[in-house]
Amino acid sequence: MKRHPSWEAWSAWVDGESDRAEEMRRHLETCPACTEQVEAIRRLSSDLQRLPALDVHPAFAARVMARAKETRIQWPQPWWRRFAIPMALTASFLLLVGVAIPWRLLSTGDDTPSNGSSFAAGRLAEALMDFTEEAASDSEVWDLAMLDSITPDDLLAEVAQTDSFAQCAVLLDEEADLDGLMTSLDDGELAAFQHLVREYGRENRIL
Amino acid sequence: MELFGCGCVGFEWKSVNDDSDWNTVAQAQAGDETAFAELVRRYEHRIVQFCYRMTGSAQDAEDLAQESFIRLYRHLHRLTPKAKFSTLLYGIARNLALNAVRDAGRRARMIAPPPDNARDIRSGDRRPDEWAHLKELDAMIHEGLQALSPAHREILVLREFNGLDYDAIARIIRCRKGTVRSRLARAREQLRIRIEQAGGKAV
Repeated sequence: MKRHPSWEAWSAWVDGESDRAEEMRRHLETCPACTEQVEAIRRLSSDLQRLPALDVHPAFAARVMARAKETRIQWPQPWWRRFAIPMALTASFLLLVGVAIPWRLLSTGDDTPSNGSSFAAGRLAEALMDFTEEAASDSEVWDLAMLDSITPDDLLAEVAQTDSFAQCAVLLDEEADLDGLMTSLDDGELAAFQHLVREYGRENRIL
Repeated sequence: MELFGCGCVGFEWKSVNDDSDWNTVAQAQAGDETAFAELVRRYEHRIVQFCYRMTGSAQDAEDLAQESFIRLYRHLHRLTPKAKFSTLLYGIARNLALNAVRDAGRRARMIAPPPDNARDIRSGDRRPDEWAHLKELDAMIHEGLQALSPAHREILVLREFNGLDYDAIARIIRCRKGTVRSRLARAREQLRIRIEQAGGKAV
């Protein structure tokens, strides 16, 4: 191993989640700097696990059961609630194509170098995921989806039934074009984009 | 089709180890109240600890854990053994805990020292000065944990206190395994720096 593994790599190694475990173990035998990092991660872990645990009240289960007796079991939700996430995802993609891409095209005068394009597209995708997740977790919709045991693939298949989404998905699958378009989205643009998505969701009562 | 360019999953498919939970769920669905109580007892410690580490408040932890089980009960008839039961329950508790910590009004109360009813299993034969230092360090770590962003805290809690692997965490927080790996490393780094800045040294 020519280079020192990163803090992230050691963090995964300590958790037994590294796919280069043996190679890294050998490196550790001869590298005091990396040994120090591993010790710091392990020390942090033991510090955390040493914190006193909270005792669960002996009557906790009884309290839950008492509340459960007063709880009305909820029957399936109206169809439109089940489609709230698909609609939110569709709105995000419509905005991705309808707002972000033209925005990028309009700013072609910007000579920002086009390096790290996959990274930019990845960040945008992650921001969209965070946004939809945050919106959904606020509205119990994810709970309902989880309790129905709908897989993300099922969920996305439902979304894909709409024509507009299908068109967006085709565009998004063309990675080269997407990368080219998204290259220079900086943090400010990303924040503005997320803001637009939120506003769109509110105005259309989707979220 | 893989959208967003990631292998994002939200569910863990049923495994053999999960059969016991789902058998109990089936009994509860058939009207056996003791079966649901058994599920509560089986998971109460894990869910209460998770909520406690997420909110830093003993009272909030119990309330959120109770609410998690009640939500589960409310939708009991809808449960099907496609997902791993624990993933589902952690997912509900996580949503509730995140909503709670996003409530800015409760923030100040949450960064509080460990409560009196926190169970301290450490040896009682330490010298008074050692004991005082240990308590001080605990308070620093507790505060450092609460000062992390919710996204960093949840991942650290699920790993360090609930002992879940990266796959399980990815399913609960619905992100890629690679995101768990990078976010967990960042959380550890930030907590380490906070503890060092506060003057904390490991015992």
